[in-house]
Amino acid sequence: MENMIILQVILSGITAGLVYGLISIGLSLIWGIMDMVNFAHADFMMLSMYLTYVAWSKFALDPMYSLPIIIILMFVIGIVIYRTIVRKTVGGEIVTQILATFGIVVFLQNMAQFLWSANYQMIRNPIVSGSFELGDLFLHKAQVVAGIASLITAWFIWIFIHKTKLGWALQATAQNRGAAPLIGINVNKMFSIAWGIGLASVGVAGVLLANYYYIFPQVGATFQLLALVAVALGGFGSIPGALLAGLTVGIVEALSGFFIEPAYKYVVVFSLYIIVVLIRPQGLFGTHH
Amino acid sequence: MKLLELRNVTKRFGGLIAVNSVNMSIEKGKIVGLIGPNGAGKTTLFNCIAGYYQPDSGEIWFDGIRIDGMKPHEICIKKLTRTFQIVKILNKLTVLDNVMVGAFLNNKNVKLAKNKAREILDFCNLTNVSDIKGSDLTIGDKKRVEVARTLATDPKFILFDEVMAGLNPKEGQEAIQLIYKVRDLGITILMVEHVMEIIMPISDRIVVLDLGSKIMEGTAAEVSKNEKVINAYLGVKS
Amino acid sequence: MQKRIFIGWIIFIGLLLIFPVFVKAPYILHIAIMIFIYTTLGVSWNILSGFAGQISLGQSVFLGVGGYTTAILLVKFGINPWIGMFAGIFASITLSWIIGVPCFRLQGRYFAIATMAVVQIVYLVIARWEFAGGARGIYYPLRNWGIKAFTFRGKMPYYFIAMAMMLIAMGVIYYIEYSHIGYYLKTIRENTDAASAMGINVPKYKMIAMMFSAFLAAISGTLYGQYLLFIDPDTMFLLSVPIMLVTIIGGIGSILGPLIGAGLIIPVQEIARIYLSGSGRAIDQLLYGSLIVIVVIFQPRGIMGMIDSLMYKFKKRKKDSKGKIKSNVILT
Repeated sequence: MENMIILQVILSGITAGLVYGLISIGLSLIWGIMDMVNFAHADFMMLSMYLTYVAWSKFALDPMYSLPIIIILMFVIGIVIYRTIVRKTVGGEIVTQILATFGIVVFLQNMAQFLWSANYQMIRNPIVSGSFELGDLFLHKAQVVAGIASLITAWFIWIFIHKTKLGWALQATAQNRGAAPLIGINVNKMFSIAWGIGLASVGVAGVLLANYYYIFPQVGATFQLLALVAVALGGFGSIPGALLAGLTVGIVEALSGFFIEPAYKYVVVFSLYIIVVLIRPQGLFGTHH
Repeated sequence: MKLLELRNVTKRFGGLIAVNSVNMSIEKGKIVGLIGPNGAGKTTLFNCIAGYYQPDSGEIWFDGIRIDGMKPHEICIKKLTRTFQIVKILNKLTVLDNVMVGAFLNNKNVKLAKNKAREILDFCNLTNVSDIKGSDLTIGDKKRVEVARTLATDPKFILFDEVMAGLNPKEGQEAIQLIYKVRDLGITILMVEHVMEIIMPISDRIVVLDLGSKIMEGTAAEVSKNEKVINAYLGVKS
Repeated sequence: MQKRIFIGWIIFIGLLLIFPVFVKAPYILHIAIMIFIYTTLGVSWNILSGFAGQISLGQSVFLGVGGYTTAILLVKFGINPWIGMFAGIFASITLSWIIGVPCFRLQGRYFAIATMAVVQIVYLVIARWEFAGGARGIYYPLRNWGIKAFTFRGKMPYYFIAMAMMLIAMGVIYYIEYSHIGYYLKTIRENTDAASAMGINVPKYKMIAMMFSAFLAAISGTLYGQYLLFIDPDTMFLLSVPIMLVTIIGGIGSILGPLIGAGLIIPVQEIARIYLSGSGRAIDQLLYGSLIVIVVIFQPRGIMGMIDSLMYKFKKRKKDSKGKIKSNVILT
């Protein structure tokens, strides 16, 4: 019986971890290609959650239907944000980069609070709801769908990066930003695309989470730190690494929440970050640096 | 007297042996040139001496003290300093400030450091630009500032890492003059250089590295005629 | 030049001392007190992130540790807040060591993330710790008043104490700027390899910066608590943003930046709080976010940076017009 509970915990850790992995992939992509930390990454996820909510509450559109629209929307937003704000910090001081995306965090969180108030919102009775049994285990459909969709999205991104010409151009830019223009790569365009994909993928995570998670302005904060931990663990610029690391974080979080008091589980996770970064700066699977 | 001594210094990166059991000693007051084709391990050797890398085996002795394993700033305190191939001066600070930072090593008093910095700027002919920010300088002046701030730390030994790189012939000549002036202060010099016309006349001795190993050491005349050295540069395996 | 600065400050301090004699409105005194406190906090962040270049995204953790230490000692053990302030300083500096020693090896952005993680951890721990009041916070006892108790009924005493703290902060930053420490920190900010090459023990000086930073934030934390007569995790640990904003707008890495930034932002913030906060719609915070982004992109060195550039261009033009050779020195 005990084993069943632990298995249950691990399972929820896996589904959560897959979502963390998806968020981390976008973060890792931007980091790997542009050598920049997007501190506002999870807050864009929050944005996508709110967009999903608005689509549901104002237009009676179920999350699963608004998903394709939001993917495109987030992609465009990504490019716009890059072109207007981020581009100006590329090649500049790290201080500027850190503070610029940090400023976006503050802006986004408070814009959400301004537009939609600080109240916790939830989407009621989406298409993907309820649970099902797998032997002795209970699985929530929404979480399982989120996990599977994360995997699929990760797979798509991986295919794109490794099997398409554009993806190779992105890789080239990641490896040698200086040399890329010499072979005809428009580095600015690559960076725009990186932001587009990064935000689109985190947008997917947002839509899926909206099925079962509370929506509020600060929801991104915890996910951001978890994603940062995952990227640190998984190596910057490594997609499978980010996914695996996300899984690890999810499972560690779930287990420590179960064995230690739930409130302190984040202490475990963040301490993990500090330990990993000190011992192995390039992450467990990383190739960057 | 031997100021710097390397005994069987070896440095590996993974499977690659960058520096292979190099033995070398440099006498006080001399200028020694370090040459070799690309990838010979010159910069790695420099980094080992200056403390940026720790050798995997071997010993490095400076002024009677063993310095391998010490951190770069500790080695600087022991009076062995270096310049960088890609010049690393402080762009946001003025030239005077740059040199003052070096001067602080031996005296934390701001006024005294400023005076000393002015003296050194005068020595290096940089007084005209002393209030100019690092970022506004020409490459020649930047390199000169790096030398100046290195001098401000009162070194006994300076490692010059490709000082000539990026300089036009006129700037190159000025740099050589400055190096002679530094030598005349009694400072021992080990310099890496690619431009043969520069390094041959200036060096008392030349050490040649190829693929991590020392293949020859001697005067400029001896080295330039040595078959192993010629082959190393032409790519012929000896 | 230094003499002029000194005289300027004497005049400024004189004005500040006379100010409450003429202006007694509690509300304006409150704004002044907040300006002083934020200047001190801004300076504390500026030393670590501006001068030394180690961006910290969790500055409020030192504020919180200082404030909470004093509060807990007072409320649970009846220890005098002045003594509690020293305990707060001690706790804060100890924390800075715990963070600094392992984390200073980390490069810029990894260090920033680590500071985010630390403040989250401390925030979560305190919010769950009943002994420290948990999420509800701690209410200060209103038994004793007067200077010994560090609790006052009127605003004036707080005004002077806050002013004194601000002056301590400015003293610290001027000391750093005009001593070798300032030069070393700026070197570390720009290029740690160059710093090592000049004999600078980089971790040691990063630690020095952090200790100054922790000290100033801690005393602000104590004062803040004694002034509000209430603290909770939210008030203590979520102040990183305004602290950073005030410094960024004024000019990160400059001496007067935090003062100018606080002087501009705090009155706006306090007034906005009256007229806008009722709606709870966080318009002011929205503005802060936009401001941070705009300033960081278009004028990264803030207001002081703009003044500095203008003065530098002016100086250069004077030198050129005197016919001196700017660069390309000719050897004799």
